[in-house]
Amino acid sequence: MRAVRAELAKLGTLPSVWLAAALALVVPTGIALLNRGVPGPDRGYQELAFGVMGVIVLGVVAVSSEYLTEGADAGGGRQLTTSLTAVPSRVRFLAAKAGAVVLVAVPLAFAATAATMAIVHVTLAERAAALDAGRLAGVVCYWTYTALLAFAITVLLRHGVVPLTVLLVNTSVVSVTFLLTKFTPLAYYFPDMAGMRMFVGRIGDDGVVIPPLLGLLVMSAWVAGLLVLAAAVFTRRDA
Amino acid sequence: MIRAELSKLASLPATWTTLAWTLAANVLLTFVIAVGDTPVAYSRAGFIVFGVLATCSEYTGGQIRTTLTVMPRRVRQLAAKHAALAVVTLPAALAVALSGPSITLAVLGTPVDFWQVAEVTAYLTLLTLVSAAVGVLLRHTLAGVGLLLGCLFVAAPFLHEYLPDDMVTLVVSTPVLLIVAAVFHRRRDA
Repeated sequence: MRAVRAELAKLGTLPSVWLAAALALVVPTGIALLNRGVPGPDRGYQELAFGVMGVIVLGVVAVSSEYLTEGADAGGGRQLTTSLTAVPSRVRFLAAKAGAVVLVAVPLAFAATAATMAIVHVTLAERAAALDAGRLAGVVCYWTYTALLAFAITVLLRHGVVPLTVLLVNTSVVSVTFLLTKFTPLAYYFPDMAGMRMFVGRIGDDGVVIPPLLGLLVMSAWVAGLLVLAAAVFTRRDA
Repeated sequence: MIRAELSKLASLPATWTTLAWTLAANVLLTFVIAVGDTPVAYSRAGFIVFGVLATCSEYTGGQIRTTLTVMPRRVRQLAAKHAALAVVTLPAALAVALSGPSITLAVLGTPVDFWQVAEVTAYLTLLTLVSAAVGVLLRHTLAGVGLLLGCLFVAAPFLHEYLPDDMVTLVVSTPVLLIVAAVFHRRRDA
């Protein structure tokens, strides 16, 4: 528990995390404002699917900040050395960090969902789709999983640029994983494509239909698998 | 001066890995979608990373202090850096711009539109220079990459109707950002 509190303190003092929080709120609400006046069954949910940029930054920065080398005048060290001296059990350290990321991502997802849905309902009035608790839970789940996905990939790579680039490019309107679905239907089972099924009804021309519950299972499997892989690599590797 | 900047750029492993991965991703995506110019939309990410890395790598260690001791005229130093960057980027951008159409030529027999290849090459080179200027302003690799990718891949598709053509935006913003970067670089404490 103390380790989780320490990780939360670290996250809270990173300027990038505050930037990530701002992005998490601004991006989906901004897209919702630009799309105002266009009704549809997925209005609001679609914006939240594209607006995950904030939690991606959160997950990446939580890890990459540990690996950043300080300037020579600040000793040229890395945060990670200090962290592992304080919490020598690597699994416990990683679990505490993932826990802290979840503790930040969940309230952010709630806030972003509430703000986006409020905008959709104010701009569309009675033409907006009715709120559905299951889909809203899906949004929060998708955002939290995306943060953990970014977290696990960054642990594996020990540098933030590659996961940040790949994941951000993939939040584009026509994502790379979506393009891959035209090549093979297996691409519908990528974590983002499957996870979106928790709350977005139709994706493109829908070659494969995945029910929301299966989407949840597929994305959970990806996240769990990558976290286990990250933990396994992290415990074996020289920090 | 340009030669010094070139040797710094060429000795960064990140330069070669970024450009190689961008080309590889571009070729792969061409096969996947089999449309000449769409993969370039994604390959822009690689050039953004390259441009930001080129200037931000000075700030990860203490390289910038050595650089400015040797070349105290800051605007000239920055100009040399951008010139060196352009020298490296131009052939890489040409390779990426050519890879898509030449694959479609080999597979489908569609003739290569050289005017379009030239336009894509210019676009990618300017984009790299803009990224380098943003890197100078932010002095932080992740922040620069995040900001630019956020603008291009997240915000731009939704702001499309409010913005002029991509190329026009870029041609206008390149000199503006280069000048702003030079002014900040000159006045700010390194």
